[in-house]
Amino acid sequence: MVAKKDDHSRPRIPALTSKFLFFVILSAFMLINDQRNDYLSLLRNSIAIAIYPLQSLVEAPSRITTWIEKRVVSREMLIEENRNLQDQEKINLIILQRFASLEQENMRLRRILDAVDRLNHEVEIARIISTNSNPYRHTITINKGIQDGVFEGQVLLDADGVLGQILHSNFLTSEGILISDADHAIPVQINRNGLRTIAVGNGSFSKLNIPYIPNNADIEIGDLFVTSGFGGKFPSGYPVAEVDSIISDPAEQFLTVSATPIAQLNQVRELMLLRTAKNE
Amino acid sequence: MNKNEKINKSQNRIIAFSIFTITMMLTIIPFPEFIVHYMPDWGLMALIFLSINLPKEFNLSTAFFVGLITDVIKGAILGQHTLSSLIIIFTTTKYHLQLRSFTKIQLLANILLLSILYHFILFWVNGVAGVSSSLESYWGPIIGNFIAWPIISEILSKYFIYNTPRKEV
Repeated sequence: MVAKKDDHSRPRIPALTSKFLFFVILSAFMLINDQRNDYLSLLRNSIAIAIYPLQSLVEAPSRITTWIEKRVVSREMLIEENRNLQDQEKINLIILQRFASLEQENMRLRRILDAVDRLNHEVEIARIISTNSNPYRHTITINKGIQDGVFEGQVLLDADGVLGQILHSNFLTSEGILISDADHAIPVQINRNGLRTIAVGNGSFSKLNIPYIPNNADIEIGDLFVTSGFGGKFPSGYPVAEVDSIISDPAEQFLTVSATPIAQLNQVRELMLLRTAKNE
Repeated sequence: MNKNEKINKSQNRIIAFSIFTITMMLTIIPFPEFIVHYMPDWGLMALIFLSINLPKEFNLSTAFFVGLITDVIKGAILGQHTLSSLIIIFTTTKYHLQLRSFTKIQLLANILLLSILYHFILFWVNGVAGVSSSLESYWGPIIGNFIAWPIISEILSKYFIYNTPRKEV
């Protein structure tokens, strides 16, 4: 009895060192394998499913406030908004008429060029359920996963332009990386003259770096960068960023160009997943 | 006596589970940008507290699972937070008697050192894997931990039932 009591005041933890070694080897194994291959996606998926209730619980207050806001908007505001939208729709229809004929023409030309028709991309709406709190990692979690056909590398858009792409897709949720993440680069070209380059994120939501533009290149402030479609991940023609500063230093071989992303990288809640075929 | 112990254990387990749920929620919640660097590692703080005060029930396996969940929440490489919390919890479990006998200031100094070690391991794994990180994201949470530890330990020590007589300092 006395011995037992003594045992209580000095609890010995059985097999602490061997347990430690076992777990360290296990986590080292995970560290090595997570970046190299796909073995651990099942583990990541199942944990992501397990914490999904927590994520939606954390997100609930903001969803409730938007729900209430939606329902208490005044009648006048709704009428006003409705009128504005109707006006906008008329304008859009007029633009669309031209677009339809242009699309026809474009398709005809493409057929002549024997190119694949890529204009009819379908999109699916998804909602951001959480963002990464580390300011250097611009990643987001969205509420669509493998179950909804989301796959790794799928393109994320908002109403204005390219947001990013899917990094991991879990069963119910997926993780996306924004074009402004410091580890992200996207192949682009200038819409005006087709000059090809890449746009690299630098951890700021309002700036992208455009490296490797030669000093004598034809580039102006206000030029629009669109996706070039090279590299195979992003389909061509979606707006990415607008040139906002060009610094030319004759001692350097390249211009220092920075561009402002067109998409509202840190303001969107809803985004669109581009439904392209996986093997396109 | 034995029966009481069992009840205590299961009660402690429920309390620990709810505390880990809350810490994980705190990890998920997006905070405003000026404070986001300085958010303490909630999960690690709870783990350190439990491994010092209830080392028999909560040690390395708890650290492993909490680390793994933190990895998934933060979108880090699987195993990064797991490895660093394992190393920290190994030391705190191994030396829990010494840590218990420390005064609050001494314990706080130790927590500071341990969280520097924790973030050094995270930083090192990031460096090996080629993930870019900022200086602020390295030092910020350490300062956050330093400030948050006295509060967290004060709150947590109210809720658990201890079988072992704790030394009052």
